[in-house]
Formats: sequence, structure tokens, C-alpha cells
Amino acid sequence: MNNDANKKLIRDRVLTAIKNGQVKMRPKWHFILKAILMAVGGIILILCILYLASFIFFVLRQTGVIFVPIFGFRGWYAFLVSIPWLLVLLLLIFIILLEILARHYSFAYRQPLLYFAIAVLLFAIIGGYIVATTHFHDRMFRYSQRHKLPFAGQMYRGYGEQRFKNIHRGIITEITRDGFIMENRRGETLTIIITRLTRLPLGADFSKGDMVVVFGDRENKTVRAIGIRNAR
Amino acid sequence: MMETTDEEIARKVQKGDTQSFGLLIERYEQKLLRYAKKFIFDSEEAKDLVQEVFMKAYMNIRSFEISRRFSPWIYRVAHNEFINAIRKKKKSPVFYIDFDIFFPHPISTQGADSEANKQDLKRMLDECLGKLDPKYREPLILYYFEEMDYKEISEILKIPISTVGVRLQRGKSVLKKIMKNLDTI
Repeated sequence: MNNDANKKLIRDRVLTAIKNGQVKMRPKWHFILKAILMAVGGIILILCILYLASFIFFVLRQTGVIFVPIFGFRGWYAFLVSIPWLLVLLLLIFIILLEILARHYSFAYRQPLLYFAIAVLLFAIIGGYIVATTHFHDRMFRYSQRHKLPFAGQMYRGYGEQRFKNIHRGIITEITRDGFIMENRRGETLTIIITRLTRLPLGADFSKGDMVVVFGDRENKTVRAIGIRNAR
Repeated sequence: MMETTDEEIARKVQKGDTQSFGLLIERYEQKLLRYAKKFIFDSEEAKDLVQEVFMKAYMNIRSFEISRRFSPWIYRVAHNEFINAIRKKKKSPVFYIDFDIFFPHPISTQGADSEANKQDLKRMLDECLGKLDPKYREPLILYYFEEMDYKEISEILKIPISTVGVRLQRGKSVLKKIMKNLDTI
């Protein structure tokens, strides 16, 4: 009997609240709008991830950092120290936000989070690499150098023109007896000395006009090369 | 004559037939009250919460897709309401970063418990529910008392199906340990 009374109580209370207009059914458009906003949010996040990942690749290539891990332990150390960690952190934040957003959808929450995280990470790496191979960021970088990029100009100049004490990228202007002369992006002329310990790519034959990355400590305008490789 | 399905009733409600919502309340009231009591333990609060669940369900019924099953949907509404109630009480999040949902687990298939085993576990659950971590408590309630399958539990809790299996397994072990400790006292 008590059960029946309860039953009536809850049912009647709810129905009365509905009847009195205290509880109103949300219109369909409310949910459609919510779904659209979530989808737009997801698309924006995906674009942000793609943009950031490709920008990181661009910066690594532009500064020559991406080429140095092949020079052994020191190369790897220089690579890890020179990575734009702030951008990587930002990229991870966007990936986490996308994960959180996607957990509302059954395709994401039915699988372990790790699978989705790996899928997004792979998407960021592969997609970012593909975008970086286009001339999009190069063009933006050139605009920024001409101060024609009002919003992201500083970011492009800041990251793209970074200088590292042991990574040097430039174009060979002259071949010398013990190495070559190279002009870097800033217009500086560096003398590169190749020793028997310098690691060179197999069958290396550098010539004037080649774009190269030289790994080695700089002293004034001279670099004793630990490793050299083509940078195109 | 075939009984009208929950989904058909929900469609009527979506179209504005408010009285039909009473039918859904009748069908789910006892189930949700039982579910709430196993969660909240306070009978009066459980009733208030269930009432709130039905109000929220009515407000959001147009978000329910008729092609899907109504039962996991309303349990999901209830789950959110109960979790919020617990959070308010504890003033802290109930679930933290949970590595159970992060990594894949080999125990993903639905196990078959014998009827005797099920009854045993139900009895143990009744006795020790309060001592169980909510993250294990809820899948156990849904599986043993509400008789839902892994997929439905996964939909309600929004966790991977394999995690449902893991939580049930771990929940059962914890439950057995608690029972063992109680027996030795």
C-alpha cells in the first residue's frame, strides 16, 4: 500500500509539475544546436591540432633541428633540448580537449581511451607532417618577415628565426680545402670545418648552392662540424 | 495484445502527449528507486532524486533517439543525477582520473554466472554495498540487480565495454574480501 502511495506521489508530482509549466520540455532545436556546437568545437579542435602539429614540423625543419638526431647521442640531446616544448604542450592540451569532447560519443567511449589517444596522436603526426610538406607555413613565414602577418607574425618570426648554438642551417656559397663557407638565414657567413670525425651522409658530395644543416659548436664565425646533412 | 514499447511511448511524449509520460514513470519508478537506494542509502533522498530524474528526463526527452533503447537512456539520466548528488555531499569528485578506461583489458567478454552464484553475489552486495567504492558499486548494481548486459552498462556509464568487465571482476573480488573480513571479526 505504501508502495502504491509512493508511486502515485512521484508520478503525480511530476505530472502536476509538467501541467503547471514548472517543467518544460526542451525544444528539438536546443539539442540540434548543442550537437552542432559540439561538432563545430570538434572540427575547430581538429584544425588547431593539425595547424599546431604542422607548425611544429615547420619550425623543426626551418631551424634544422629535425635533422640532428642522426648525429648520435649528442644529436639526440640537441634535438630534445631544441624542441619547442611550449607548442608541444599546447598540442597535448588540444588533444586532451578533443578526447574529452569525443567521450560524449559512443564511438569514443566504447573503446579504451588509449586507442583514441593513439589515433589522435597518429592523425596529428601524419596530418601535421603532410601539411608541413605544403608551402603553407613557408608562405606565412615569408609574410611574417615582411610584417604582413598581423596576428601570428610574431610567432612565426620568434620560432622560425630561432638560433641554436650548435645547429646551423644555410646555403653553401663556397667550397674550401677543409670544408665550405655557408650563408645562414640571417645573412651571416660561417666557415665550416670538416674533420675526419665529421659525420657525413653516405656518398656526400656537397656543392655550391646546396642547403645544408651543420651540427657543431660555433666559435665566432667558425663551426667545427660534428655532422652535416642536406636539408632539402 | 502486444504491449507498447518504451520507445513508442517516448515518441508520443516527444510529440506532446504528456499523459503518456505517466506510463513511463510507472514502468521505471520502482527500478530507479531501487537503483537510487543502492546508491544513496537514504530512502527519502532517493525518492526526491528519482522525481528529479523524471523531471530531467521529461525536459530532455527530445534528445532521445527513438532508434535506440529507452532503458539505458533513462538510467544514464539517473546515473548523472545520483553522481551529482554524491558529489555535492562529498564536495569532491567521485571519480578521479581512471586508468581502467585508459588501457585495453583482456577481460572483455560477458561472463556467465550460475544462478546460485548470482544470488550469492546479490546477497553479498546487499550486505556490503556501502563499503564498496562507487566505481565498482554501480556496475555491480546494474549487472546483478538491474540485469543489464555489458553493452547497456557501457552506455549508461560511458566507459569501454572491456572496462565494465574489469570493474565487475574487481568489484566481485573486493566484495569477497570485505565479506571474508566481516566473517573473521
